[in-house]
Amino acid sequence: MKMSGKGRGMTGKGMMRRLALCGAVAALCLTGFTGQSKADGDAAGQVAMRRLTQDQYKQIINDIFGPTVTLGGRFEPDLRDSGLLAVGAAQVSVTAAGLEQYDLMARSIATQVVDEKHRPLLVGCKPASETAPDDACSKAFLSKVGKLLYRRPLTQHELDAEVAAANAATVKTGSFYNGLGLSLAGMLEAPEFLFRQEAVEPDPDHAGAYRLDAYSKASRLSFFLWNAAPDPELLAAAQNGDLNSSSGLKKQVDRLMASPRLEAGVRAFFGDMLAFDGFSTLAKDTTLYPKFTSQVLRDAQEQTMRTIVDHLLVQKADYRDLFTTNKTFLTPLLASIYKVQASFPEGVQDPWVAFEYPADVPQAGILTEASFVGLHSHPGRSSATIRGKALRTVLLCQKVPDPPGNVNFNLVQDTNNPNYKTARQRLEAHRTQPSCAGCHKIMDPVGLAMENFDTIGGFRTTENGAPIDASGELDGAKFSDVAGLGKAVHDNPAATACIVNRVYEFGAGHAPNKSETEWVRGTLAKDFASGGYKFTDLLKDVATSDVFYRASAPQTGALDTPKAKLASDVTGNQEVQK
Amino acid sequence: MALIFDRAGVNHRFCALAIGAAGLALTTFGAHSARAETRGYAVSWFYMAAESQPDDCPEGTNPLSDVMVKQFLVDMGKTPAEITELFKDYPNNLYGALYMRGKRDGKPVNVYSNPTSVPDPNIKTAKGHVAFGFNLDSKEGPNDFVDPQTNERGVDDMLYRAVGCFITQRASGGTRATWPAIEWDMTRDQMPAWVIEISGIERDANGKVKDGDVKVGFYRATSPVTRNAAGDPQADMSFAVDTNPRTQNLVHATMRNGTLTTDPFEFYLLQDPFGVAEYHFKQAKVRLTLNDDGSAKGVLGGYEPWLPIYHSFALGGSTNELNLSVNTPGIYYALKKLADAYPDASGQNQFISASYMIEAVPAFVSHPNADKTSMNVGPVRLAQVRQ
Repeated sequence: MKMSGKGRGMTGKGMMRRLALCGAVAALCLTGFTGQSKADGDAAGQVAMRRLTQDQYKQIINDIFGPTVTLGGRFEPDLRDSGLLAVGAAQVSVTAAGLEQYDLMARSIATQVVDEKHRPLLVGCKPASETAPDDACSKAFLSKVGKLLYRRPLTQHELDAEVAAANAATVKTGSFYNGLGLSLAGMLEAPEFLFRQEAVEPDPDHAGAYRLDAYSKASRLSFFLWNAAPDPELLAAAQNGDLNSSSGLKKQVDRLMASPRLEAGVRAFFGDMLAFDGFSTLAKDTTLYPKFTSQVLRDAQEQTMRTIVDHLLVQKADYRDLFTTNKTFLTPLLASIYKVQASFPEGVQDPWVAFEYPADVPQAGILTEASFVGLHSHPGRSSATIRGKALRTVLLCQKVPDPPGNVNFNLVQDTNNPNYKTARQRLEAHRTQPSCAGCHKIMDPVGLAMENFDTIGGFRTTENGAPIDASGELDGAKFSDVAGLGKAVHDNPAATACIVNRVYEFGAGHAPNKSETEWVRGTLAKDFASGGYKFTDLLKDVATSDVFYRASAPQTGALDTPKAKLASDVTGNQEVQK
Repeated sequence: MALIFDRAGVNHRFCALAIGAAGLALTTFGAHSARAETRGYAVSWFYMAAESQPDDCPEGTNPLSDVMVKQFLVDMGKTPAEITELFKDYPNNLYGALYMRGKRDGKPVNVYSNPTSVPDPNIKTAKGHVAFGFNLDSKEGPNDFVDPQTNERGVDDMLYRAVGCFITQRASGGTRATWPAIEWDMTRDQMPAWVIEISGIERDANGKVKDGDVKVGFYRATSPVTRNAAGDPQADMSFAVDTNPRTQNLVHATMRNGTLTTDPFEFYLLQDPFGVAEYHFKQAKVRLTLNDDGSAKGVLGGYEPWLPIYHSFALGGSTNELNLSVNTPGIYYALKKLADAYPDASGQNQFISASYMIEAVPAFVSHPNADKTSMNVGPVRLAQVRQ
């Protein structure tokens, strides 16, 4: 799509419209247009507006337009809240710079969609003239694509506006496809696309209560299980009301869980929970650790993901065994870092092989993988404290206070002090400072168990020539090495409580309120345990529960208007679609 | 799989396949206890050895390329004006000009394909007496060297004599000479890695390697080395040995004070056409020191065919001459004159004594289909392979 001066002028106006709208949305987001419960004790859950993550944005574009439409531009950084980016997504807006990037990406995508290569397949219809507006073709394309982008049918008002915008741009640019592309670009930077907006409706089964409307339900379900927007079948189930019945919901949940795309959802969840976004800024001192390369960084994440996917989805094994399993996957570079021998297929770029550690070595479970010990370390040395904190906060959902501002780290950081050759010795000396001792007592005994791994995950038995003592204790469970730590995490009730809580938060986009917490800690956690801690059962229990889709009453006042209009517009548009 | 923790605190794991291979080796040679250790290495560097002395080129080194090439052009009959013109934007106008400077029957020919198409320039050769290597012929002669590490006398290394007065072939103090290092560095990313496997290593109660008998295998793997963030070969990578018998050498060695020295054997390994396509040494010996950091460094000495050495220089043609300051036909004549072993029917020696440095990083070496290969039945000799 060529952008003529006239076209840019048109888009400039459109952009101003989007900017204003986006600013409004951001304001709503930040001022609480989240349907948040009036009181924490409300039975209903929150609804939210969550900004699409980078992966979700890319997946949606790929799903709608295919892999040959490429993306440029940068995404705004995500925000971690309550341990998850998925929760933080409801707290972020779009900055002016971020909108600029969205605009660039939108124009690029739209240009590709309507170019001569893609238009036969992606636009579908042909205009009567390529130089004049064509209402029928514009409407057919924009309603079809708009439904997938907005995760609901366009309202009649929205559709009319988009067609009118396309027509106006066609007249100004002299090209039907330019006009159509400009309208598409506008939709791609609209808050209805960039934010997952949830709408509520009265729950007919519970007088006075509210629930997510069917399209919001479809979105929550799809993003939860696939980390992607609803596919046409799920949108159809929303449109025809199937999702509002238990059997209809269960049918869709079963379908989504049987799909290979479930893996993407599971990867998204664990990537979020394990804070893998930290890899984007992870650096190591390659003078000290020349084995660490950008490929190792990618492999480390993928190793844990493959381990998780195989363990939880393929083997359908006990979630807790992720901390003790001796089965994993390796690349040549990872095998080199772990100093283990593995056989790799010849002539395969970036080969992965399944690998099983012998039973008599300490390496077992994801705690011993570079994605954990490497991510939670300093650039040039390991950190028992950071690792201990990460284990407690990430895997056990416990809170560890930040260090006070006046801590003297000199002793801990001096790895060349001949009097304190190992991290244990340095930390023992450091803990003599009273202000440090309290927190270190809960982090260090855990983190020191991982000291057999250097800052990139390489196995070692000594530090500065002194033997490493990897013994420790976790909430009363004592152990002699990292394998024992894995067993202690495996047996710690906080580990399973944490994963249950995180899964719910990831799907709902918020920390559970009081009533949700009762269900999460009660029924959901018990069912998870009684079922043998099968992760897929946990996903299914959440996805088919009423609690997951409950909503609080809409707030009254000025903010009611757009919500009410949205609901009525959607209802009206359903008629149009028919 | 079994895990072996040595007393130095380094852990080594060997998959069942490697254990099987090592077990076969131990069975075959039968001289080692159950605690014997097998260590693998990937060759990170292999290059012509040089311990250049200030006085080993008493007439000075051979001229740098600008002086040398100017003489080529004079010999070709170029006028001063033509030479001045060709030297503009040096050396870019000269790459093409130097190829056809040979003469056959009065017609210009490619000098690199026909090194005798120009007269012997009698390049300066090294006259010193310090070089790494071995006394291959058990004799001491006026052309022999003394090894600076072992003080062994009678060291045979006529390759260094031939090329040791080109500045890009000179090095000392443990450094690598420019061109041999570049040549290896440019080929190792593509060529299947050379790997070394030492079996039968025993340690005393303090973890120190005990003196005694070991077996050393030199193999080519099926995959290249991988570079780490510093651009050096990554340590601790896993390699599978190429089952092609032409890529396998196994020899007895004696370990003394952490350094092994092999018996004489016939060394044969494929390398890369960019350098020397096939390395073949007769009466080869290897000395390799196992360092505490897991690496190894040593020397290979032996007699190798001199013509492939010439080809490794000639392949680069004028690029080598202009950038490395080597006189290619001069090297041909020097190698031919200084070749010191295995004469053909005419009496011309076909092999030249040579020494190469070996540097290696720790690696895991496995033998696919070990029971189907000849790795444990003794060294595979070139003659056997070519039959």
